[in-house]
Amino acid sequence: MSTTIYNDTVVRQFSIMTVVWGIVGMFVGVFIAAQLVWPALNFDLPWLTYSRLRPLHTNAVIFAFGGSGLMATSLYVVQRTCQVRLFGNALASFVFWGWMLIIVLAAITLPMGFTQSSEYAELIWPIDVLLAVVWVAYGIVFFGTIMKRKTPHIYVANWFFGAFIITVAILHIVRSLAIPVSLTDSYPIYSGATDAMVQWWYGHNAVGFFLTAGFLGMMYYFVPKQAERPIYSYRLSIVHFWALISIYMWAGPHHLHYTALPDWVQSVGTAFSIVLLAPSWGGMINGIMTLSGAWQKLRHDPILKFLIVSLSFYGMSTFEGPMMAIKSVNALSHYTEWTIGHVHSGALGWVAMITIGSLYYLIPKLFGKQDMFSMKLVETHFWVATIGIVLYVASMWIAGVMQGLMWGAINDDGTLTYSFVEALLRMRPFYLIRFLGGAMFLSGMLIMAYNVYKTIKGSKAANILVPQHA
Amino acid sequence: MFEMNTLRSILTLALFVLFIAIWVWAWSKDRKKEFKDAANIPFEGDEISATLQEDKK
Repeated sequence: MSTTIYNDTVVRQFSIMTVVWGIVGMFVGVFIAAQLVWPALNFDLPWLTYSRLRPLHTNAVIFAFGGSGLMATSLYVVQRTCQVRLFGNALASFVFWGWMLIIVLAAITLPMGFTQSSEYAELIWPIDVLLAVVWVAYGIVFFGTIMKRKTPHIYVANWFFGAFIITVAILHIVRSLAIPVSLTDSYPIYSGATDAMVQWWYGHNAVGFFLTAGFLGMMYYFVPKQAERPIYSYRLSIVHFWALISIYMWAGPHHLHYTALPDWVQSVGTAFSIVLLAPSWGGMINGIMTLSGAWQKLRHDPILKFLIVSLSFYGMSTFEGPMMAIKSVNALSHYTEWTIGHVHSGALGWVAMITIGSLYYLIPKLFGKQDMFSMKLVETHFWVATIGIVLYVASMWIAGVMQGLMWGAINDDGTLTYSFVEALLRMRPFYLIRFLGGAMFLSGMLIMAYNVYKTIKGSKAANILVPQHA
Repeated sequence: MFEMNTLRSILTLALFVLFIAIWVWAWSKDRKKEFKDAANIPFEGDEISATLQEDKK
């Protein structure tokens, strides 16, 4: 009987690069946070200005760190739950090197000031084209594997990964449609309020499908595996899936409250954002309750701590989000630091924590080890990261509410009570706390990098057999 | 006469009914065993990799 091994090469490559890009992207984040405290840190160099480094930070953490993490875990999970080797060896390799090339190109063009100026879709059109090609190849590898699966049922994690891959392809292509006029310049095909709506249809669904659905795919595999028990309710996972993907699509307008966007569209956005609480919490409860009857595991297992705390942050930010989408709350929170706090409670608390937990599960297995080099360091990483997030989020909440109140304060004669600079000056201590929180989270990633290095040093790649079916 | 808003209302209603239908389908007794097996998919084939790891040491 011939034996086949899983294609874990591409999973190993993406796993290692997730840690590397995580450090790079978070370092840029900490650096621009420092610039807000000490503005001189841009050294009067154009490519070190906040306006150029901020898109570099968001692109690096979302697409380089998050994207590599999603590709590593989805390509691992789809093989394990379909019990077949990955479809297309060369194509999988193309996806890895193509993705790395895109990241490097982004890291060069963004500081140089080449941008399309759409938030989270800043990359110029030649890179957009390359991204579309690599993404379609990724889709072919993933769905090709599903098509040759040996299990009759498609496991729920793959449904979430699949929805993430299809939707991101559509979002990216529709948002990036533009008429090129030179190698680095292009004009978008949309204009005015339509462009704004397309932007936030894209932007919010990037949150919904890139930063949520994809990572829920991770949750549905790694939480059961690490807890060593099946998901709390499989049927809830099905309702969770359909409810989440159908409602997310319509929530985008809440980014455009009190703008030129028609009022009724803003109200639709608010309504769908509030309804979104139900599937979000359904999924969170499904993940956390998987531990029901085995809560003691949480005490001894730092990997499980990462996974479960990530779900707690997911629950918190998916409660905060619908609340902020209500127009009267949004009148206070919009354009303030509160939004930054909300985003990072999701991005650090949910996305990064579940990725880190999943990698701590994955990396030893990929290199034929039982565990990470040091579980003590995993525990240290957990606490440093958690305290870092709390500092970050709490400081931005306080700063944001204060900012919103100061901007809205009006004297009896109708003039503004505070000038913009007065509100800005009050931000300083909170910017410093945010910088410290971010620096703590980054140092957690450095602890992880050391631990990963010690785990894989001198070890050979584990060749794991695909189970044979009669 | 059908106008656009009537069609929109019908579509909204149809999607709501579809959602309830998915719920009923997911909770029906016939699916119980299928979903129990599905929930255990991540745990299938674990022994093979475990033995292989043992051999390598």
